[in-house]
Amino acid sequence: MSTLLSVNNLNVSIDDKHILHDVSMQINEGEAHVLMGPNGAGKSTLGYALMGNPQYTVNSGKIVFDGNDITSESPDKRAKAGMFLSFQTPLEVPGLTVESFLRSALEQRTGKRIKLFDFKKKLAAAMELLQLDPSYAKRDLNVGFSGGEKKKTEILQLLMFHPKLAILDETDSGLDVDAVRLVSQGIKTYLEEENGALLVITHSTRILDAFDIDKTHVIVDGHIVADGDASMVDEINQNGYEKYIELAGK
Amino acid sequence: MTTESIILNPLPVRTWNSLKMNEANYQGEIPADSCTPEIAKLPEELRIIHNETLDNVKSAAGELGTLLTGDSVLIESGSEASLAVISYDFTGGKQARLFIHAKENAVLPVSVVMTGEGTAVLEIKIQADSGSTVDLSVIQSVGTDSNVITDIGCTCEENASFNLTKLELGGNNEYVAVSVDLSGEHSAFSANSGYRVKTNQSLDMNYVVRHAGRKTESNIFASGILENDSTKIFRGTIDLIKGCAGAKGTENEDILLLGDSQVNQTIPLILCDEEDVEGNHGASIGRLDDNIIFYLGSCGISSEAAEDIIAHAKLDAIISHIPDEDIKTLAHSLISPEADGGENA
Repeated sequence: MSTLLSVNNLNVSIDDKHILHDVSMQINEGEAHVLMGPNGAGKSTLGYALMGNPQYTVNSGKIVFDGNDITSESPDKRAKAGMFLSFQTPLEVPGLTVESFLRSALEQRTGKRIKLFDFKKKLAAAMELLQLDPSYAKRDLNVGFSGGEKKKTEILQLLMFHPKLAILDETDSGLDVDAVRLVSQGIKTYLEEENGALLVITHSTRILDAFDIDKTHVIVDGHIVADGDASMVDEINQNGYEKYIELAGK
Repeated sequence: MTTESIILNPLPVRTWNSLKMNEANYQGEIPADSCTPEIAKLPEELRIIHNETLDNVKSAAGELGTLLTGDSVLIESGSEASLAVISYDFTGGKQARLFIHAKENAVLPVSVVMTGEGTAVLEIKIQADSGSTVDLSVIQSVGTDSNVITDIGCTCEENASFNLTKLELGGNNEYVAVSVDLSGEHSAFSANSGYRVKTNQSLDMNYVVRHAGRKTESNIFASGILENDSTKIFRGTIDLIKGCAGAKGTENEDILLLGDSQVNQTIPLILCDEEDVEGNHGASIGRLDDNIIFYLGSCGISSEAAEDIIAHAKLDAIISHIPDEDIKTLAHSLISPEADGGENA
């Protein structure tokens, strides 16, 4: 498998506060990685930095995606290259319907007009998979949605956009058991149909039951302190982060 | 062609002169030639009478009235009518006068489409008799080098309603005057105005609602986009006249700034001569939130496209108030990227 994402010695700050310290990782095509860590460890910061959030400054290091250095690219160019970020707290966008947003984004990502019939057919299938009421397509994006509906709408984007790499930031947080099951089903479908790669950012493990994990990374205080295989997830489940916090020198 | 120098859109009660918001000083052509309406849809319930007017409907357009002497058309209905669609092509510079009379308990939906290149002056005066409803949508899509003046007035009797949807999509310098008299008890007015003022263009609006009847209600919502170096002034007056107990008037503005150097002026004016009333105003103005730009960007939408999508969404929300699907489709086509000639076409 060839390398899809390569992060090399990434240092990131926000408002002059140094958050990520020499973070490195490599994700190959089709691999599922998990980034775990206690609250405030820098997990979401890494997700935002990978996606190019302009509020975060890359002080040094490099992000290479699909063979191209994207460290300085804008978020939309990263998305067009095949990256996707599912937000921990999806934003509400009044006036922009889910349907209109998805179609616009698809057209922007592909640079092509999407036939309405084909789009609607695909949208209906994805919404059915996630058990999202079809009426939500006509509603303003995330406006008045419950927490679970917002997360499902994020996974709806994942299913519609077919990214090469999906970064899922705490997608299972705040979801009930049924919602976790549906969201997991959506992620599984993405993995099966697209041979997509995943970086799952989480501090719980409920969502990880749905698919096989290739690698686990533990981040503490902005440092990647351990890398391992899927067994690390179970180990953290049993013992928590204490040993990793010690590794970070706390 | 003669150049007129007249005062348009005066505030009913003046404020500090130094603010330069009391009125608009118009210098330009007021065409004398009449514009012949093209009546695209005319339901059989409607009657058309040429060169008849309604004389008792007030205007908020200032000194324009005396210059409106062209041909007129009066449409009237005494029952529930389906939509009438009237188009005006102002090419070459023209004036048009449309009068609408909804008789007792009638329902009268009318859509007016303004097109062409040249100075466009449109007067619409409405008499809504008791229990009647007038739904008026006006889509202004006159060429971007033109001066455009729209003067709309309405008088509502008891239990009558006037619902206005207005889209300002063309014109270089545009003036909109809307005057509504809620003289009958329980009469109501709602306005949804959407606009996109492009680079170096100006829009001057003057909405005046007089609540004379008891338990009358008005709701004015103006939502739009100001691009680089554009100018917009919104005057919104809710006049709660003595005796209008239980009346409620609300005006709100929502403005998205795209680019730099816009001049945005808003003057909400609530006049109150009655105790048991409610008058509200609010305004929100700002640029597109950075978080939304990033959120949409992470889905592949560039910041320029995100601004355009949100701008169109604002106008879409106004278009949703148009009752007729064909007119909605027309309005959507006029705000589409193709109509803008934008890169996202």
